[in-house]
Amino acid sequence: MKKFVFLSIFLSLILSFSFFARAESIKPTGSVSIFGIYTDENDRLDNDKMSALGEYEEWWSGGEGNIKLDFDSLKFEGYVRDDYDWFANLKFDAKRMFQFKGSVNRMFHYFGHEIPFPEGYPDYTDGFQLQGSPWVYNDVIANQAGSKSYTTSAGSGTGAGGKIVRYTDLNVGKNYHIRITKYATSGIFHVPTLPGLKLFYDFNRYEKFGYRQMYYMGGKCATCHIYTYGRRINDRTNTLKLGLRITRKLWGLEYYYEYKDFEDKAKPRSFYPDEVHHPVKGPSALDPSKFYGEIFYNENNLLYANTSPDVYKYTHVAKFYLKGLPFYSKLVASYVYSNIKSEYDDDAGYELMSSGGNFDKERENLSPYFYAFLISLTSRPLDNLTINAKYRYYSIDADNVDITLYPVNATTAWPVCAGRNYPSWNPGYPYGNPAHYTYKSDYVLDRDVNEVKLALSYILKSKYVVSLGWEMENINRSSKQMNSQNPLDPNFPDVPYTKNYKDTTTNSVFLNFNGKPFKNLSFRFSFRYDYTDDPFEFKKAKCPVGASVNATYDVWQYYRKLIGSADPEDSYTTRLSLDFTPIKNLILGFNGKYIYQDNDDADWDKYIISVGANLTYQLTKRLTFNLGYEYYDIDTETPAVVPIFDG
Amino acid sequence: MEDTPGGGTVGCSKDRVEDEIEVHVVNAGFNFAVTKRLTLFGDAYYVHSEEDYDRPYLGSIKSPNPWSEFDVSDYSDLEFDEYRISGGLAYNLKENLTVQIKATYADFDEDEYYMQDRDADVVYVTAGVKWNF
Repeated sequence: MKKFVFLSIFLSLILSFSFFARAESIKPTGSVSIFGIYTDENDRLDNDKMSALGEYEEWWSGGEGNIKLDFDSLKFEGYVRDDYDWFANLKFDAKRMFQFKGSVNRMFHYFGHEIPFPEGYPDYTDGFQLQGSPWVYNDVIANQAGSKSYTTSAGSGTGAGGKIVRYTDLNVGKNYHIRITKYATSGIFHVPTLPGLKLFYDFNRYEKFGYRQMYYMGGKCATCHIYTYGRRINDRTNTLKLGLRITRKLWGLEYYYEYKDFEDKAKPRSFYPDEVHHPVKGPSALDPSKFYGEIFYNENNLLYANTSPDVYKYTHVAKFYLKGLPFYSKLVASYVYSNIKSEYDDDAGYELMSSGGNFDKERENLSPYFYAFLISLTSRPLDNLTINAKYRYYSIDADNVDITLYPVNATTAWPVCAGRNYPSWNPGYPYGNPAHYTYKSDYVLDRDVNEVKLALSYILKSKYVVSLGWEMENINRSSKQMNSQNPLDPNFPDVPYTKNYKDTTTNSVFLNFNGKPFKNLSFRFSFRYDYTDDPFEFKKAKCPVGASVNATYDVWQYYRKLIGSADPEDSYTTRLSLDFTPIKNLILGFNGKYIYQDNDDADWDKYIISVGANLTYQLTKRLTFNLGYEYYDIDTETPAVVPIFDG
Repeated sequence: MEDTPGGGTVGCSKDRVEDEIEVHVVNAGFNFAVTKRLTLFGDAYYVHSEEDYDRPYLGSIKSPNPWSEFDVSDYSDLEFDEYRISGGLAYNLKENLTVQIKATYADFDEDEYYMQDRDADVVYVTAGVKWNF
């Protein structure tokens, strides 16, 4: 892929300059500027200053330069700020026979180190020693409230309990940052011997490189001992588009092929998890310390944290339009087919994830495909009336994941538990009976979608445009959610995910009203209402009102009986913007947006208000002022269900 | 629910919570051509941003509980003010050659923060030359 980029840029530059050398004028217009930036170098060593004020802006000492060159057919623009930020844009137009654009853009983004506890919680930091304890910890960030005395490097006190939380930064002093580089090039070639035929290409590459802070849980200590380390960032996305376009008087045709990939080249964090112990430890002769295959991984499995799969997408797109029909109609049709592959790098050892323990997973990689068909008709039966009707269908399909959990003999696995009377409803098995079942998990994006749109647009007195419309979207999902049965029931079926999602149907109406009633005033107003019947929701998301349950985790999960959804049933959106020039040297602008959404079943609502105004006033020919104000408010009210694990 | 029983069990508590984010942004600037050669310019930018999160009533937690000091809303109650003021002058040495100098003061002040209070301010000066052709 890199070869293609360099080759295309190289060939394009040769073509550009060969045309350019023959151009009549080689004297450019433009500008060159060089600036130096100075600040106190100590500021750069301050983590607060860098992360609070230097996250997006490079204010530290250095230099920057700009250049703009404008030849007849060649335009170049460049900027450089040390080695951190720079861009270069090149445009070339060879008498419209060949048009080329190329750009490189780099941005540097600084991250700080985050300590995972708010300042002031608690006071103890280094050298924490609890009364009567031989242990001294240097990295305590929180402690249980209690009545014990403690000493730290800062002094002694009372009020501590036995449980402590520790934090270790494994990369102290590491410069966390991200460097983003974008390469883009595109070209259009008009075939001179075949008028109306254009060949085109488009290539984009997006690279991210650097380090960022990452938390990970390496084993049983993780709940009270938090680690962070520098996770390498090294990923790239490539998009290549190749196609042709035929434009005739009454019809047109376009086809292109698009290849897109995402690859994460950074080696992920690997670790061996801690050895897992059963909470009821007994004599070693009975060896009750292990979970006997009730865990997915043990201390012998090398695991990987914070990983991303590589993704490859292959797309074919065909578009066709026909003009010259009655009532100035235009018919547009298109077809899209995509094949996607999402897979983990074998080097990361993901084969471990499908074997060992007491379960099997049938599929490693994800290979969904997507296809869509669109047809649209736009007509103008009257001079000032336009009608548009559109229909679109698309489908996403993928293989399922089949997971098998094998049965475990609880008496053999946990012999020490036999005879114990806890919990009372299931003595001897503190975590309930071991679950074993096979379930088929459908790909969650698997769906068939139909969309219909009808819109009317009317021009009123040449000053106003009124548009009215209706849209409908119906989503039929293949994936299923967990049914209402108790997973601890011995008759629990082999297929727990059997409950279908209802179709999600959204009906929308909209009104747009734009106009210019006076020479110095223009406005744009729009209103849209969406009503969704059965938005995407999870039937067993939350506890009932007033519910209380003290039980094992599995039972508590079963106690969830209320609907949860992050999608709205009703959504109202209103926008208004105004441009007003009351006098010659004063320009006023206003924009506003109000959105209200609610979902009665899931019992939440939200509103968003956004208002902005700006003013530009030229007091004299020499003195100009500008003033702007923006306000943004988002308010969400929702039930919170807080699970509390008291272990 | 009064409290959780311990021993690896789970309790749940339900309450309504509200989260609100408000942002105000103001910017202002001027450009004054004092003479044919000398131009003064300046701009100011101010942001006030805050998020208020109503802590749910966690009736199921024992009181005092191990984390009784610990208010989860502290993580989501955020407030900061940031402003930048800059001013400078440009002088045309020739019709197509301009020198420019600009000083900027930036201040970031966190009243309520996620993890650490990152109050910070910097001053930096930018100076250079621009040639039009």
